[in-house]
Amino acid sequence: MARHGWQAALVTGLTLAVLAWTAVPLSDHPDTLRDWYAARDCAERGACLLAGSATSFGGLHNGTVFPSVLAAVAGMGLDLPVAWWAALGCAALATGAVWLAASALSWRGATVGAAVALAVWAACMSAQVVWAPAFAPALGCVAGLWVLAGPPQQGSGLAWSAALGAAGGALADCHPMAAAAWVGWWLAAAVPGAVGRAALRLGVSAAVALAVAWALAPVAFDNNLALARAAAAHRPLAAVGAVVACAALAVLARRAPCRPTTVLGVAALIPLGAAGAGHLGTGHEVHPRYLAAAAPAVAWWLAAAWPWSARSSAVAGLAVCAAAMGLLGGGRVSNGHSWDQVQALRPIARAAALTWPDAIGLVQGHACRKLAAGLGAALPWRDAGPAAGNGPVLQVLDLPATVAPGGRWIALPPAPHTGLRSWARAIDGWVDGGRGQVCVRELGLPARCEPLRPGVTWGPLGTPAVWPQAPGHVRAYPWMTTLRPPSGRASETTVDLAFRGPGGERVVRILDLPNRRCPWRWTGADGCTAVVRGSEWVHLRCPSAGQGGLRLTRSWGPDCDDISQWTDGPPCLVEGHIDESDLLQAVRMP
Amino acid sequence: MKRTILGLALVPWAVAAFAEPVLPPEAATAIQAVVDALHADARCVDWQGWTEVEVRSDRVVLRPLQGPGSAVLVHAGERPWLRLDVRASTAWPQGAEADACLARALQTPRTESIWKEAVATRDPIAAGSVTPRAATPMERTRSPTATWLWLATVTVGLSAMGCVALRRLVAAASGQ
Repeated sequence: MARHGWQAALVTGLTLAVLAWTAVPLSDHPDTLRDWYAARDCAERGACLLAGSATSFGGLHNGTVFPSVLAAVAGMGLDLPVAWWAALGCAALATGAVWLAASALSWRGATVGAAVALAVWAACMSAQVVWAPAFAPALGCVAGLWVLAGPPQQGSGLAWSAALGAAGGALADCHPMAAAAWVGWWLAAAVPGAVGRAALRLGVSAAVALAVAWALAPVAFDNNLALARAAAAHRPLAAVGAVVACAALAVLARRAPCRPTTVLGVAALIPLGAAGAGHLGTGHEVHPRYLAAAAPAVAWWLAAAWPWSARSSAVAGLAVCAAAMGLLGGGRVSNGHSWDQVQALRPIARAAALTWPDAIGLVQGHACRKLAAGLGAALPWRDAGPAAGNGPVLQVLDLPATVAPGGRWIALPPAPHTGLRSWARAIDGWVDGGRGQVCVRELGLPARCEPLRPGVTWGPLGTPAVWPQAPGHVRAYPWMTTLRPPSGRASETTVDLAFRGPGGERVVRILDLPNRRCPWRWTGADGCTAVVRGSEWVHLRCPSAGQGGLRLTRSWGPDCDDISQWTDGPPCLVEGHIDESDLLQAVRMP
Repeated sequence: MKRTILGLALVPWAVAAFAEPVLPPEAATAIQAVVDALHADARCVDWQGWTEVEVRSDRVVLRPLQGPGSAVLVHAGERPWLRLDVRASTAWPQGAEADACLARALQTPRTESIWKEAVATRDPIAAGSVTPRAATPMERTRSPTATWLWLATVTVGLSAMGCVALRRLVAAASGQ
C-alpha cells in the first residue's frame, strides 16, 4: 500500500497543477469582490452573514463554507489568494482520495475515474470564478468515502448516520445542489435491506442524519427545503420523478447486500437526475458546478463498473486529462484584471493619495469600476464623502506585448493567457468619471436625470446602489446595473462627465466592451473644441481649466444586444497627451 | 408488494400537499397591475429597476435589473389572500418613500377591487405597509468567533471522517 500512497500523492500534485492552469485566476470579478467584502465585514466589523451570496436561481443562497474560509483568511490578515489555493488544494486532495479509495478497493479504473473527477472540477473552476461551489468536491468526496468505508449493516448505526449527517450539513452549506449528492450517498448506503423492522431503523437513521445536518447548517437546511418546494411546484414532473425514485428505492430496499456498482450508481444517479430535472423544470442551465459534489460517485462507478486493465485505465485517464486541458484552456480573467495586477496597482494609488471611495470615477482604463472596487478591497472602508476634486487619476492600459510605452508608465504583472501586458500611471486627469449627470430620454416622455455622485457606485438611473442593510465593505460591491429604461420604448441614455483639469489639448478614447451593437459614442463637449475621430475617439482643445464637460450617448433600439444594457457605472475611458494617441489606439480588452 | 403499491399511490398526493398553492388568474392580474403601477409612478424611482420577467402558474418572479441573483417571488397564499414575499431580496427598495409607492400601487383603481378583501385582513403588506418582515438570511449574522469555531469544527470533523474512512479502506485492502 505504500506504493499506492506515493501514487496518490502524485495524482494529488498533478491535479493541483492542472487546476492551477485551468482555473480562472483571481481577479476583480464582481462576485469575488462581493465575497471578499463580505468576509472583511465579518472579520473586521463582526457581522458574519448566515448565508452566502444569492444564487442565479431566485430565492436561493449559496452556503457559508466558502465565505467562512474567506473570513478566516481575512481574520488572519492574509490575502485572497490563500483562499483560492485552499479551494484548489482541497479539490486536488479529493482527486487523490478518489484514486486511493478506488485502488484500495481494487477497482482497475482508478486512474480514469480520478481523471473524470478532475475534469468535472476543472470545468467547474474554469467556467466563472473560484467561489462557493469550490469546496463541494472535497465535501462530496468525504461523504462518499464514509459510505464506502462503512459496511452496509452500519447504515443503521446512529453514530455512522450522525457523521454522515454532518457531511450532509456541510454539503448543503456549500452549495444548494451539493445536498443532492449527499441524499444520493445516504439512500445508496442506507436503503438496501431496509424492509420490515429494518425500515424502522432506516427512519431513525434518517432522523438522526437530518437532525445533525440541521444543527450544523440551519439556514442552508431551510434553503434546501425551499429548493425542494420549488421542485415540487412543478407538479407533473415532480410527481413522475417521485414515483420513479420511490419505485427504484423500493426495488433497492429488497436487495441486500448490494453490489458496489449498484450503490455507486444510485449515489451518482440521484444528484445527476436532480440536475437534469432542474433543467427540464426551469430551463436553467446544467453547469459543471451542479455536478461537482456528484463527481466522486460518478468516478468510482466508472472505475468499478468497467473491466479496465491498468494500462487502458491509465491511457483513458491521460486522454481525459488532455481533453479537459485542451477544451478548457488556460484560465483567463473574464472582462477585468487579475488580482496580481490589482495588488500591483495599490502602491501606485497610495503614492497618488487615491483612496476609497474617491477612486470611483478616478480610475481610467478597461473595466474601470471593477478596478476601482478592487483597489477598495484592500483599503479600510469609510463612508462615502466628497471626492478629492483635483487629485490625480489612475490609468491602466492593456497593450499587446510588443508595445512598450515609455515615460512614467509602470509595468504590471502579466494577465495569464491573454498575451497582453498592462501598464499603469497616475497623472493629473481632465475627465472626472465621478461627477456629472446621467439622463434617460424616452420617446414622448420628459427626460429623467440624476446627478452622478462621487464615491458612490451606481444603481438604475443614478440611484446609489448600496445594500441598505449591508455593513461597511459590502456597500462597495460594484453592482451590475442598467441604464436602459424598463419600458423598452425608443430611448437614449446620455452621460455628462465634468472636466477637472487644466486647459490644453488631449485625446480621449472610450473603452466600451468589445462587439457591442449599441456602443457609447461622443455627442458633445461643453467649454472645449472637440474633434471627433471615429466613434471611440475625440480630440479636445480646452482653453481654460476645469470648465465644461463631455457628453456620451448610447441609443437603445431593437437591435441592441442584451449585454449592452448592463454596466457598473458610466462608460470607461482613458485620456492622454496629444502625442499619445497611437498608444491609446493600441489598447486592447483583456 | 401491496404496501409498496399503496406507498407509490400516495406519492403524488404527498407532492401535491408539499407544493405551493396555485396562483389564481386574478391574482396574477393584480400583481401585474401593481408592477405596472410602480413603473408608471414617476415618484417611485427606486422601483423603476424592478421588472416582471416571468408569470408562472403559481407565482410571478420579479427580478431587479441591478445585480445578478436577487429576485423577489410574488405569490399567493390561500385564495384570495395575496402576499408579497420579500425574503429572497436584499435589494427590495426600503424606506418610507418606497413604502408609500407600494401603498399607492396597491390602491390604484385597477388593483383595488382585487386587493380590497386582503386590505380588510391582518395581512400587513396588503394593508399598505411592508413592515414588519423577517430578516432575510442575508441580513442575519453571527459573530466572527462563532464563524471560526464553526469552520474549525467542520474542517477538523470532516477531515477526520475522510482520514478514518481512507484508513479503513486501505486496511481492508491490506487485509485481503
